[in-house]
Amino acid sequence: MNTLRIPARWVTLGVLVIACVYFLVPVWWLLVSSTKTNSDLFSGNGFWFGHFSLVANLRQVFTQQGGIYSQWLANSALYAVGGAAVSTLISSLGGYALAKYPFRGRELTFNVVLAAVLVPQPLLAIPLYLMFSKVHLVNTYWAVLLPSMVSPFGVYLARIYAAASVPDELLEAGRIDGAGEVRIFGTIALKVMAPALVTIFLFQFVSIWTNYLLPVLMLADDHLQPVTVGIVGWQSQRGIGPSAVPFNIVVTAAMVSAIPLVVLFLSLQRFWRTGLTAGSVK
Amino acid sequence: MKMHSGRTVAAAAALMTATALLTGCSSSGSTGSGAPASGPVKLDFWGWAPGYDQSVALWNKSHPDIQITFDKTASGSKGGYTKMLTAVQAGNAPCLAQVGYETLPSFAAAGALEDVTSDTSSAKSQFADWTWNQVTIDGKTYGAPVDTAPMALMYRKDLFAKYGISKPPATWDEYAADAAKVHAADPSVYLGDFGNDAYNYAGLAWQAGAAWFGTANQQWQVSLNSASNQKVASYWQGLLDKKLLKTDPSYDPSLYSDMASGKILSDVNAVWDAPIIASSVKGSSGQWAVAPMPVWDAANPVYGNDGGSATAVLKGCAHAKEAAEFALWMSTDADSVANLIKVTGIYPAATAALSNPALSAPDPFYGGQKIYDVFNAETAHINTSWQWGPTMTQTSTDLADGLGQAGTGGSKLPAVLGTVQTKTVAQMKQQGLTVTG
Repeated sequence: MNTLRIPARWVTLGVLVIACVYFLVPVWWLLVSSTKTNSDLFSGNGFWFGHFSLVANLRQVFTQQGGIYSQWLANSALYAVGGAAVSTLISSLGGYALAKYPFRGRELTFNVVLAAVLVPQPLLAIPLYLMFSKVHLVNTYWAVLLPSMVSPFGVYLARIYAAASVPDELLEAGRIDGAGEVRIFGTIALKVMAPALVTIFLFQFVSIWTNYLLPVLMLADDHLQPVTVGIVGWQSQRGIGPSAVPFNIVVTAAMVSAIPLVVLFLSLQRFWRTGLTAGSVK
Repeated sequence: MKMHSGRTVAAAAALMTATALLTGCSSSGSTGSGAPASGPVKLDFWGWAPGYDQSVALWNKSHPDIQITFDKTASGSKGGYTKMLTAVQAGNAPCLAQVGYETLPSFAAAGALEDVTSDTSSAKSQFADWTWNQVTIDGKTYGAPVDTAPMALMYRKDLFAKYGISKPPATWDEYAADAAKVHAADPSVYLGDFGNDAYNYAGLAWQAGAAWFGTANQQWQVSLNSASNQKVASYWQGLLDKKLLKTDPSYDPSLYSDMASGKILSDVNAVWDAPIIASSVKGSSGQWAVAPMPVWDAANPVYGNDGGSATAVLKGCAHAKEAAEFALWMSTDADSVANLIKVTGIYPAATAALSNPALSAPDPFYGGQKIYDVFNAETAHINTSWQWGPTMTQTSTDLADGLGQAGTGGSKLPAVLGTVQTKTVAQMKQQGLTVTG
């Protein structure tokens, strides 16, 4: 048996290395390319540095079109932080209720939420636009924020996690001590569910940050746009006229827009890891 | 103006939703954007080209009674068109929209355009005939042409000389002969590139008079697989079979890398590609030149077009007459067109604008050549009969796939056309359109 294990380990390692290369090579390209001048981008090795002009590129990214890029980043941050925070709160409330309170139609409600997980978000963009038109919310911050506050997957995850990790005994103890349901949720359940909440927040943050079709449809004013829509706009103006955006600036802008995601993942990683292992202790 | 890059990679979601809209859309009771009876008429204008806002500002200054607001949307293929069609359905669409010629028939089929024939007919003579045909579908005019994109041959003068090509190929026969000559001299060097841009290929078919779509008696005709289309396809397949062309994807970094290192000597592309090449392969500045697109018949030269767009009036506009007035003004007013040439980089559709001084400046990248003289001369000889169809999003995606496969040798161009024809007819039937062919 032991002799079999060593090749198996090497195979696992090999697969992981290939996966790693597969995922990291584009990131490496992005990093390297964002340091190049426009003409260097098309000559020389794509995976190694050329003339180093990262600082000049960054300066141009933040001054292009009257410095609108910072506005886009701020918009993205507003949509992603606001949307993910509210959606995490709603998901935890919903998931906890579905896990801990038996009521008529509980499974039906949960199944409806589950079905909503299967509906791809882009499919909802056009119906949402038509609805938001009726209530005159199109082309406002709310048009992007409101749909971002709902996450069926978050509710699903919160229910599963609450059912597995919030012991009924703990809730009973709280009730005996005279705590109300809201207080029990706020002081006990939320703390136990924290790792799941971090996961929900991360997922929702990433999906809002990278969302494209919804903001494209909803917003007509480019000062409301998130960074994804802005960069694609720059990219489609590449090459022509004095107001055109050079390719290296588009690439650098894309690199900068990925940084918040990386920072977020790195800083929330340890909460996440405790979440993954929490179930196995018992 | 560059209209096409990236169109072939339009988001799948956008495609699906757009098609869903096209199939399910009939006229809806829309109120449109408009102003109360008193005060100036207020109109909205959606588009994505830089510089349009400046033309709008010029108009607003000189026309206090009609005030336009320009909103910058995502470009058409990146969600802009879906947005416009959805807004028409929701009844809150702007009066005016930037729409590419190739997409106008889709909008017309979806009932998203306002017929402004009577408000525009007097201006027809200010535009080249063929451009007017681009904004007129089945006898109804829906807006004003803004720009066009005649095609030409951009080539490396120095390397042509090095490989013994004394003058750029004037006909496609000469082009094939030169391709063989270059490749024989150095097997790693190619005369040109056969990319996967469906609209570039459409320009080649356009030139040959190989119609893809037509309308008669309110019926659509599809002729992608016609004899004249097969002729064009066989010509390019012949070059591919002999491996005389490089097959880098269109507008891909690999293409510009090969151009920069002298492995690809020329490109047959539209007027808006001239500055793209100039900004992408700066290292070879001064060595390039522009020659007319090779033709099929030297005695009777006819050229192709790849791109161009219109200012369309959208359905439900409460002030269609004023909207049409602005659309015509933007494309013909001397100051507005001068701004669009300078800032947007358009090649104008209004014939008077072709004498704009900005179009006669020598271009240092092209060795000091006045490159627009080439395009100006071609403009009068662009095939006038070309008409786009209502399924271009799907047709262009299918064709781009086929072109890519032909490039790698996975399939042959004549067969690709047959497949695209079948799929296009099926798609049109699915949209509930009457179609023959």
